[in-house]
Amino acid sequence: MSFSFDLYVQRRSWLHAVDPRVKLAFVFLGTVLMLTFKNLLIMLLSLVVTHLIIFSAGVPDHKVKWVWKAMLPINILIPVLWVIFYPEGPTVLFQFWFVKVTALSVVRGVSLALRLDAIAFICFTWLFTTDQASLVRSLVKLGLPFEWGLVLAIGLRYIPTFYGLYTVVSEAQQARALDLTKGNFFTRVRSYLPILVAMMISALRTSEKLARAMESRALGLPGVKRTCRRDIRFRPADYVYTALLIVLFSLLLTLRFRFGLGTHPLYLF
Amino acid sequence: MTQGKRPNAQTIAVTAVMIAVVAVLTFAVQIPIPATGGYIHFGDVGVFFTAFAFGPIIGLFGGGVGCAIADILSGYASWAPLTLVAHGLQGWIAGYFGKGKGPVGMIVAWAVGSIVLIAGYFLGEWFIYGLGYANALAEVGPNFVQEVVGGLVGIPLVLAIRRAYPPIERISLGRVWEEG
Repeated sequence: MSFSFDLYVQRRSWLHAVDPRVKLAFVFLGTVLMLTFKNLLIMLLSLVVTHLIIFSAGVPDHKVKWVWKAMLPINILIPVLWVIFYPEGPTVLFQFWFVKVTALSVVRGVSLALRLDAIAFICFTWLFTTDQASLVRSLVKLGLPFEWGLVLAIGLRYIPTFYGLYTVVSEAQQARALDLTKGNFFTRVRSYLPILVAMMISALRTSEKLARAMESRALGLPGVKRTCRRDIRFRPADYVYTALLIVLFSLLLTLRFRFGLGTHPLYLF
Repeated sequence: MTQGKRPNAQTIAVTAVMIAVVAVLTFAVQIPIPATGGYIHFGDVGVFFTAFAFGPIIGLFGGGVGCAIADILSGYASWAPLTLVAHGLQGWIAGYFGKGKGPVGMIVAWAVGSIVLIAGYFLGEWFIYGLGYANALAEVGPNFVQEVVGGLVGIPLVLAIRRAYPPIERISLGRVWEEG
């Protein structure tokens, strides 16, 4: 499994300029909307739209490929299991032992998998184009107590540090003849304990130093008005985007629940 | 743990650090399971450690947010909301029953936390993501192995750290700076 510490892609695009709160609203409403639809065409359409949005913001190809690579196993597993367990409809494509592969269940399985892809890409339109500082700032502005915002900011900040720490401790213990490959599964799992103990103690020491540093800067002093280095503000364009988002969301939700848009896996209505 | 309703510096620092530790343990430690070709990770070890050492609130944030960040950074953003809730509840429940307890108390809390997590993923995948019982059931096995490893490593880890690093008790009490 591959991972990256920071998903943010630094660019100067229209999407980077959008207020993070608007993007967060897009993620939330988009995810809710996606979960109400079951239609293959809608899933394909939303994937096209999110890809257009992501590429228009200047996000490089390899980021998009990385998401698809991570999603690949469930994109195979979900349709396969769905087809095996939920045969439906009259059209039988072929029969193999006890498994009856029907056209409708294939379509349904594929659209379920694509729905998860669509939700992932909706999230990544936000995460690829929002740096951690404005992300945390937007959550605080939306009412998260600043202490928990600080928790999130510090947590994100320390992930690369602790990853380095884990690597160093792991190599140090292996240099002292710790064998991680010997024995059965459970022995091997338990052999990680010396690494974890050393890493945890180091992490706890870090947290104590951090707490002392924050206390010495009088964090949590009552009656202090907090300021921030870089604030986020709604521009006129952000109001337009928000309005557009609300109109589109209500329209699609009405179509879905009044007229049954996207309930069938293949036909729109 | 908190001064009034707001967390103090100690709580902020240790929660943040545990979020990072849980996230790192999730994507840094990957042990192959020979029988299936799959992998297990140590995210749950981190969640149980956090919960048993620091209690429900830090367990909730450290577990939920840490695992959700790990999901996002690994590319599985669509699971992140479910992970946030399932691992958050797991950390909360495990911390509620297991904080400061001995091995037996922690085993009970581990069992409850594991059930909450497995049930949370199962129900979430079945009903919210609409994947059907077959796909939701396919996750139960790996999650179960994951939880077994979480307890098998997490509980000895808490005991070892309590022995090797006694200041942890002081951290988990949460020092409060009183202005004189």
